[in-house]
Amino acid sequence: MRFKALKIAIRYLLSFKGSTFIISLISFFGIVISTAGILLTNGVFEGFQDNLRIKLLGSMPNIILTYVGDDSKVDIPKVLGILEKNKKDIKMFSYFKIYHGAIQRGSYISAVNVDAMDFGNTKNLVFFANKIKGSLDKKGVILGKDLAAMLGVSKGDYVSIISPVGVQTPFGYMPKVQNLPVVGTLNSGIFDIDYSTVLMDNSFADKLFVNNPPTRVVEINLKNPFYAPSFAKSLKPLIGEKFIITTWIDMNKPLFEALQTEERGIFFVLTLMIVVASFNITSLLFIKVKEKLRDIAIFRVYGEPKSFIMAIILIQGLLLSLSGFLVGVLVSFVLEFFINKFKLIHVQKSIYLMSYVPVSISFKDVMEVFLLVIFLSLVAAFIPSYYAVKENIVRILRND
Amino acid sequence: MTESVIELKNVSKIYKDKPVVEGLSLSIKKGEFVGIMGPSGSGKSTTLHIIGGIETPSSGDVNILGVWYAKDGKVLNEKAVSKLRKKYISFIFQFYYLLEDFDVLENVSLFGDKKKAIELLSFLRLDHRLNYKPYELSGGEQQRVAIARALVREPQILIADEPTGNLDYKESHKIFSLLKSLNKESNITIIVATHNEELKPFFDRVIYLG
Repeated sequence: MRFKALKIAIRYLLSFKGSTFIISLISFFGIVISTAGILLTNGVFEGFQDNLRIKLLGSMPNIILTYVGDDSKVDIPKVLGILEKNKKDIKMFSYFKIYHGAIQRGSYISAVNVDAMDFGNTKNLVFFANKIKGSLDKKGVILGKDLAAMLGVSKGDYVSIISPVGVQTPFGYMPKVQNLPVVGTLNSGIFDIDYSTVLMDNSFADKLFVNNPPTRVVEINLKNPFYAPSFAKSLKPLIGEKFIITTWIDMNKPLFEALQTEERGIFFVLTLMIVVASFNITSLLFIKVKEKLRDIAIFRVYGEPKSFIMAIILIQGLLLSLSGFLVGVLVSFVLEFFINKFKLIHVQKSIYLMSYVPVSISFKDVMEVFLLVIFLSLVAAFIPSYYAVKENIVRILRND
Repeated sequence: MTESVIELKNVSKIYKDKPVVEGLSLSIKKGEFVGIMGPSGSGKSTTLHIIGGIETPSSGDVNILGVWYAKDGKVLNEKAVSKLRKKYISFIFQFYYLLEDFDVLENVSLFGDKKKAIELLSFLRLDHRLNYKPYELSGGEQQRVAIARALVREPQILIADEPTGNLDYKESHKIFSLLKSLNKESNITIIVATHNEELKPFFDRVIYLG
């Protein structure tokens, strides 16, 4: 019975009389355009997010272990030893301390994070290696490029690094100041870092910030960054509860959640395009049902059940939507290819970390649109199919 | 004694307060070729529709092939009636009602076995028209396709509503000769509504309405 209904549905769908051809085309292209519209819009969002992830991954560690407090409660060499043993998952890691201080140049003072690390140990500089312009002179400081620009200093100029908890006096702690030459600049690509970071060799920093409790930081990059949450979970029992473990996903959660919310919102709005296209299917099928009422009456006179008649009409709606969907998917992939090949969507690199947005249509999006099209076309076809079986056979035959 | 395949007891049908069929009782036996005659508006088509289970009576009892289609004011549910029609009852109409989008063979095979459809169409001298669309056929040919469609399921009852109403005298006689031979050879019960008195000799029995 199903194949018979399919055969009849195909024949009726391809039977054009008068205006039904135009309405069929409008319905078909409605689905094509709405499918392509949703897929490309979601593709732009996906492409943007993927690219942003890559850019962020290139500029920040995958996992950060932080500890603030009494040194005696954590065993840093032990933690570093554990990481050494996990070389199969870890690409690189570095250890340093962060002191909170200030920098002064003339009358200008700004709060900074002083990253104290061993300039002589290249292992500790893996995250900065390609981003430092200048020398790694242990007697100098490296400033974030935006910080250097704001202070108006360049290589060779002197700046004052201020330790807020410096010298103990009867009146409390007095700040301690040390003048150091600028030996280089750091360009991480992230404004927050480049505006507020000073790199110092730990031999100098530990003396200057002797009374300041440091934040101990271990930065880890994995071979597979997407493995970060599960790796972080497995690391927790090994290194103890004292460390705060943050993955790159946690750090950027608000950003990606905001982007996904926006993507969902736009997906919902664009869904209305399919709804409108489905209205066309409803109109078309109503006309088709009107045209074929006599045939419907004959099928029913010959004992075909109502479900058979409904199936013929529902299949027509489904076939029209599916063909529109398939062409829409094809159009989307062709446009995706050209947009990516000719880099057609330009954005400002200083704001978005990328000069163009690639389009990335995912299988998940295709499946979502597929299910949506199927559902809406069934709803759209149900109304005329219900109308078809509600018609009185005798009335149809008498009217002829 | 031959069994009744159709039995109507005191059947009435009222349309918009106007009785179309009133207190009709009749019994049709298996293998009979019955004519229902009467002037226009006498309720011939309505009677056929009730006998064929496509129209419910306003009152009275209707038994089709031993199944009570209507009894004591209750009517058999639509699913069961559809099954009954699909298995045992076929129809032929004055305007043929062939499916325009399908060719001759499909018009018949959609309602039954394809092999049987070809056999019937050959028997009805339509084997050279198998791939023709209905609009490419003459009225007589179209009615023969409709007859093939009606017979492809090997029904027990064939109901024909003015089957020659659109045909000339010669074609009408050909169609009735064909129905008569089918009735004799296959023992199908055939009930025909017509107002054409000239066709009366073909019937075993005539029921007058109005």
